[in-house]
Order: sequence, then C-alpha cells, then structure tokens
Amino acid sequence: MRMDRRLQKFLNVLALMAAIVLPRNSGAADLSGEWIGQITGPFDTPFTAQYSHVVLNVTGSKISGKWGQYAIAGSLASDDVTIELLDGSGKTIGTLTGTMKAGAVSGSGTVIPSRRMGSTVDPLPNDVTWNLMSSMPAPATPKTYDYDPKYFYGTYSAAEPPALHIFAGDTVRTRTYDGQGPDAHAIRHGTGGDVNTGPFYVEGALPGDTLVVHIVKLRANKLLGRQGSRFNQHAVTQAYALSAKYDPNFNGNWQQDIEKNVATLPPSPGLPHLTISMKTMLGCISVAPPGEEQYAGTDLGVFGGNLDYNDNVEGTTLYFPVFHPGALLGIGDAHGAMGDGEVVGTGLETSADVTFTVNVIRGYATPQVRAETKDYLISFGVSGSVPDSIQLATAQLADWLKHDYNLNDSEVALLLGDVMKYDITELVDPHFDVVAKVPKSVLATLNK
Amino acid sequence: MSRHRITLSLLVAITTTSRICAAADPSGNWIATIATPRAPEYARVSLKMEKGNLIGSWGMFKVTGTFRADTLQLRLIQDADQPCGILEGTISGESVTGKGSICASALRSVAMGGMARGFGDGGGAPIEFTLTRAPISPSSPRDIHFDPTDFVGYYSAANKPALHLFPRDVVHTWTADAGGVDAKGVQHRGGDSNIGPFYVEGALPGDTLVVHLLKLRTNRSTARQGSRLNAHAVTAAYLLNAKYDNSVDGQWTILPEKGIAVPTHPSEHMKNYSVPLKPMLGCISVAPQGDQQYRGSDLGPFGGNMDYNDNAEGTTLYFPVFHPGALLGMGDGHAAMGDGEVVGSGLETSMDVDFSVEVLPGVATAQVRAETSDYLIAFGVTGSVPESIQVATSELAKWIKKDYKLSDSEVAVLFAATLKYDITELVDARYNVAAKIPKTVLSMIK
Repeated sequence: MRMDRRLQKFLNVLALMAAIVLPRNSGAADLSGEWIGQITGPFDTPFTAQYSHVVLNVTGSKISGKWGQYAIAGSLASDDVTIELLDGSGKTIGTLTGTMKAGAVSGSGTVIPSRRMGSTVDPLPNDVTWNLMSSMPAPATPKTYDYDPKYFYGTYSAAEPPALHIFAGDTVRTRTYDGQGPDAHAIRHGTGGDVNTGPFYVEGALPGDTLVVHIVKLRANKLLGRQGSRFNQHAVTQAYALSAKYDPNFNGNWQQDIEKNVATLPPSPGLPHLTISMKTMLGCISVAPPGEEQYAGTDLGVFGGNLDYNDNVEGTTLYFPVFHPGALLGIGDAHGAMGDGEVVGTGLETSADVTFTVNVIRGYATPQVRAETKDYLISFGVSGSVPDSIQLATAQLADWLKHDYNLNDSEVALLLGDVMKYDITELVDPHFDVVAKVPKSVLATLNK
Repeated sequence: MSRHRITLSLLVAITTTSRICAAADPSGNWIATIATPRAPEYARVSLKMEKGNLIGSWGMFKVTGTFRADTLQLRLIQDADQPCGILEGTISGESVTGKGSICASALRSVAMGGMARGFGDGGGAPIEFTLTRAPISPSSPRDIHFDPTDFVGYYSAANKPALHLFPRDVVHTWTADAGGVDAKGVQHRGGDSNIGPFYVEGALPGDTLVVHLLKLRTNRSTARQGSRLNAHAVTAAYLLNAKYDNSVDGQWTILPEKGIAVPTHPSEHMKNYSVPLKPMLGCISVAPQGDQQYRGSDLGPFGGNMDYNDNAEGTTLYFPVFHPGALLGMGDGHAAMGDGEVVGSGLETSMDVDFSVEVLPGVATAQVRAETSDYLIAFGVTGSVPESIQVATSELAKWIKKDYKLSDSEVAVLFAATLKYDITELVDARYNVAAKIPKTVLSMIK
C-alpha cells in the first residue's frame, strides 16, 4: 500500500519532469546531445533504477558517445535506435534497442550486471527496459527564488515529491521550522521529529554526481531557543546518569537576541546571567537516501540528515553524494547555538531564515557528506558507532585529499598525522557522526 | 644512583630534620601512615597541646587526646561527636609509632567503595600506624636545574624518585624523544621513557598534583614521524588498499625561528609543505594506583601517554595523586601533532622543559584534568572511544558542578551549549578523549 503511494508520487515527479522537458522535433540529428539515461532491471522500481548522464553524437547512421562510464557504439535507422554499451576494455556489456518518439527514446535490451565481489565469472545478462529523457538546459542566467514552504516533511525518502525545481547556480531564499507548535503558514507530514523544508529538485544532478550546497545566509528568526537540560546516556557514564538529580521544571528556553547575535538563559540560582554568542547552524541538511531507504527526520546517514554539526553555518559549503535524479535537497532543525555532540539531545532549537545556492559536480561522488568552511576541509563519518565514524571520516578525508591534491598514501598519512583535527558532532541520535578536518592554510602549501 | 639524587636527598633530610630534639613535642603537622590489609593509607594530622590536652585533626576527623611521658592517646571524632577510633602511640625523636582501632569510614579505600577485609562499616578494626613530621617547604621556591641521567620505561610507584621537590619549586630540565635520543644525539632508554619521577613533598593519595608547563620548546633541529595510518584511524578497506611509498621517510627539519617544521626530504607535492610548531609533551604522569605497572606507551587515570596536542607551553595539568609524593614523570615530546596520533607518532623530538608544581590537598578526581588559556579540560582514558567520551564528559561535569556550584540541570544546559571534544589518542594501548569548556563562558558564572 505504502509502496503504491510512493510509486504514484514518483511517477508524478517523472510526469512533471517530462512536462518541463522541451519537446524536440523528431529527426535523426536531434538524437545528438545530452540526455538522462534510465535502465530498469527486472527487480527494479523507479527508485532503484540506474540513471546516467548520456551524451550521443550522431554521424550519418552511426551513434557514438558516453552512457555514464560506458562508451557507446550504435546505429540509427529512421526512428529505430540500437545502442551497445562498451566497458573500458571495449567489451560489450549491454545491448539496447528502442524507438524515438516525441523527443524521447525508449526500448528494451539486455545488460550484464557487475560481477559479484570475489566472483570470476560474469553473471548472465539481465533483461532491462530503458529510456532517454532530455536533459533540462539551464536558463541563461541563474535565478533567485523566494520559496515560502507550504509543508515540512519528516521522512528522508526519494518518494518525497519535490517542492521546487532549481538549476545549478540558482539561489533559494527560504525558512526552516523548529518542529514544535503550530506554524501559521504550513503543515508538517511524515514520521520524523525533525522536519525539513523542500525537497529541492536540482536539475542535472544524477547518481554518481556531487551536489554542492553553499549556505549564503543562515540566521535564527525568532526569540526562542528551546534546549533540553538532561544529559543523554551516550554522553555521560551510567554512574553519572544514575546519580544526577535533574530539576523537572528547569527552564531551558533561551532568549535569542538576533540583532546582537547572543542568547541568554533564564536566570537560575547557579547561572544567574549566562549569555553566549549565537552561531546559528542547520542540524538537518540532506539529499534523498539511496534506493528505497526511508529514515525518520531525526536520523542521519551517508545522505546527511540530522548531522548536527555546529559548523554547518552561514558561509559553509556542503558536498553530498547524489543517490537519485535531482538529489532532493532538504534543510531543517536550526539551532541558535550548540556544543559538540548535542549532549542533551538538542541545541538551542529554533527556526531560521536560510539563503543557499546549489551546484553540481558531475561524475565525482564520495561515500558520505563533506563540507568546507573558510578554514577547513571537512569529511563526515556517519555510522552505528563512534569508532566506525572516526575510521570512515578519516578514510574519506584521505581519499578526497589524494584525489584533489594528487597525493600518495604516504604523503596523505604524513599530512593527516601532522594537522588533522576531529570533531565529535552527534552522540545522541540513531546514528553517530564524527568529522575529520584539515586546515586549508596547510593545504595551500601543497603542489597539486 | 646519581650524584644529584644523593645531594638532594641530603637537602631534604636537612630541611625536614632541622628541629632541635629537646623534649619530644607532639605539636605540629604530621603525616600518618596507616597499615591496612591492602595498601597503606595516609592522613594529614595536626596536633596542638592546649591546657594539658591534645587537640587537632586527623584527616577529616577531629582529635582529642592526652600526651604523657612520650605516650599519645588520641580519640578520632566524626561530625556530631561520633567516636571513630582510639589510637595510642609512642613518640621517639621525630616519629610516632602505635596502634589502635579506627572506623571504616576513616579509610579512603573503604570510603571509595573498596571492601578491605576486617574493615566492614560496622565499627572499629585494629590498625598500626606511624606519624612522621610533615615536610616544611623552603621559605622561597627554588629554581632547580635537573639534568636527567635515568630514563624510566614503566609507570610504577616502585620507581625511585630522581628528585624531591616542594610545591612552587621550578624545575629546568629536558626530555629525550620517544626513542630515547636527546638533543645531543645521545641514546638513552627508548619506548616512551620518562624523566623523573619527581617526588613532590606533601602530596598524598586523595590530593591533586598541579603541574604548570612554564616552558616547552624543541631543542634540536630534527624530528621523526610515521607515514602509515594506524588501523584504528581508517577503515579496513582503506588499509587494505593503501600503497605506501617508502621514499616518504618521515624525517623533519625544525626551524624554530620561523615557527615551522618542514620535511627533510620532501616529495614533489610537498616541496613547500610546512606545519606550524606546537611543542607538546606526549607523556606526563604520576605513578599509577597501588601495585599497577604500565609500560611507557600506555595511559590511564594516572596520565601517561595521553598524547594531547594542547599539553603545550602554558598548560596546567591536574593529576589525581595515588602515592605519597605523586611521582611525576614526563617525556615523548612532539614538535607538532594532529588529533588522535593517527600515524602512531607526532613529530618526535627532544624538548627543553621548565615546570613548577603545586598540591591541592584533599581534592581528588578520577582522571587527569588540564587548563589552557582558553579551556578547562577533562580527560577520559579507557578501553574504547565511546567510554572515553562518557568518562571525560562526566569528569568535566563533576568538576564544573563543584567549582562553580551548579546543579545537574545547570551543568547539562551549559554543556549542551558550549562543550567541545577532542579525540586525542586512537593508536595506543588505551583511548583518550578530552571534553572541554571555554573559560570565557565560565567567567560569567562565578
């Protein structure tokens, strides 16, 4: 039942995509250009189908080009299209036949799946269906959208229908909701506690790409910053948790002075005048998780989500691996300030005004989220334990630096041994999050 | 046995025994050593003759008693006039020996949850004790130049003190690198060996030893560093795929005048690469609890190889004291190091160190703490990172609650808004995480 609803939503999205696609006049020459290729296997749904950037060049009746990482050798006769997919060694790994109709191409064929890990024999070919959809051309000049959310969603899922379609280079001015109390302008839906604004469908972003999100502006927009006042069990020892005597009426409602960028705690006997600097951050920022995965808003993973990093602030740029066409960016759960690890289960929970721009790095993706501030390159490691998170964050940072700075394993080890820093960002949600980071000042001394 | 040690022992002997031994007088400050079925216990004792009777204190207890013909009779009294022990001893010269019975709560091991045989909570148990005169600090702190000759490979209370210090003394000394090589290239014992131990007069179990790192500078131009990531720092997949290049030799040239270190034989990509110097002490320790012994590369509630890159010049460390004199040691200098010591080393080199010591009587914490210009810091050394996080957070919370008189709810709110963590040690026998709070925030509280 649920699946059917998700499918219906997804098909609506596809229909929407198709509607925006500029209709091409049919004709041989029109096959040349950029397309989005979809290959759907026997057990696939639209969420698990494989999407690739496709470039076709038609010369006479001959077709050449790229389908994702594969080369293309094909032919065109009238409206009938035949495409062979060739791997790096020139071996045919797929044969697709189809017809061109109303500016799109679709058909069927066979594709040899990748070998299972450790296997020495090629698996049998799968029967597939396939189609090519026109790649949306970006507008000549980037646009700025004022997006006033009509609803907030509480589940990370590719089935969430896009709230807005945008292109690389576009800017969005919008707001987030802190998930408590009524909002006069919008409703919330989904199962998660941390609700998000969006998702934003970024045209041209496909699996295997990286979505770049630059937070241009991020400011808390209300007086109240609600905060818990009991330590989470992951942050303190059992002995501490058992002997702690909490005041059930403790008032953790900070008053935020947006002008002065400070927050003040209501006076308590021991903290009669505590005022701290605000550093408004986005607790949640995400793309849709891989395949048919669904997570509550409080969860986090390789897709981001409730990362709760206190440097995801104004000026920070985030890099997400893309798992679905359009990436499906969402933001929410602003905190006026927060220490490391979210040790009481919250920051200064608030709503915020957000301005962001997006970009797409085509054909490069890392396993998890990355970020960049003015001082650091940052790698996130989200997993089921802090030690795993440390290892994942470090390994991804090492791979990133090796890729971008042409370092070998020894050079990158030396560098990380000298200057890497860790932050423990999330201790209290369903998954743990540690970041590994290196100062950009040191990277600036490397010869690429 | 070094020459220095003999001279200094003499010095200590002179300062502590310079009283004129006329008629024995029990008045003054003493240190009690109590024999228990387990480790000896200690208490600070203060006695005074008043109207022919003895009054004073024994640890946390009040004392009343008598003194006749070299014989002391002492009654220990708890709050609300509860009797807590009867002791009798004989004074001879500058010491008292005796026996009696003492209630369980007078013993630290019982008060902290230990169950010494025969010392149940029910009442008194027979003990033997001695009193020795409390050391008297010199009138002004001393400046001591200490040239180490012995390097200690194990953390243990069995190590013989290299030097006796009094609170506020300043020591000018140096450490060899983790491999035992000093500034002149002389090879000493390696394996994260430490100089010392320094016996701090007046430090007793249950106290805190304070160590100020007044100066910490590299003292030679070379350092060495590993260039392979440790298995705890990266995924198994990364480790299996890594192709290490033996031409990256991890040798560094230290340029103190520029405040940087540069690779001595840089690869093409690292020709202009440099890292800022931030000299730190990888190892700093007191003797571990009881009969425990750990090798130099290990770490624990006694400190040791904590490898915190903010244990640098200007930092103050606070150690729980487990043995009389605390037995401070230090070594394993790094010219710079990232978090977690992910390649198994920092930029290993020798150091010039100036430090001073103090004692906070009766202040005991479970693990080591530190203070920099910006932060109060609690360490959590355990067998896993998650547990280290919990211990560090709890130790910091207890500290701030006590020193700033905060409730559990208040300290939770304060931490939620301002706490920071550092992952300091991933690659040694135990893990270390530091939890810290900015002093700017704390300055608003008191």
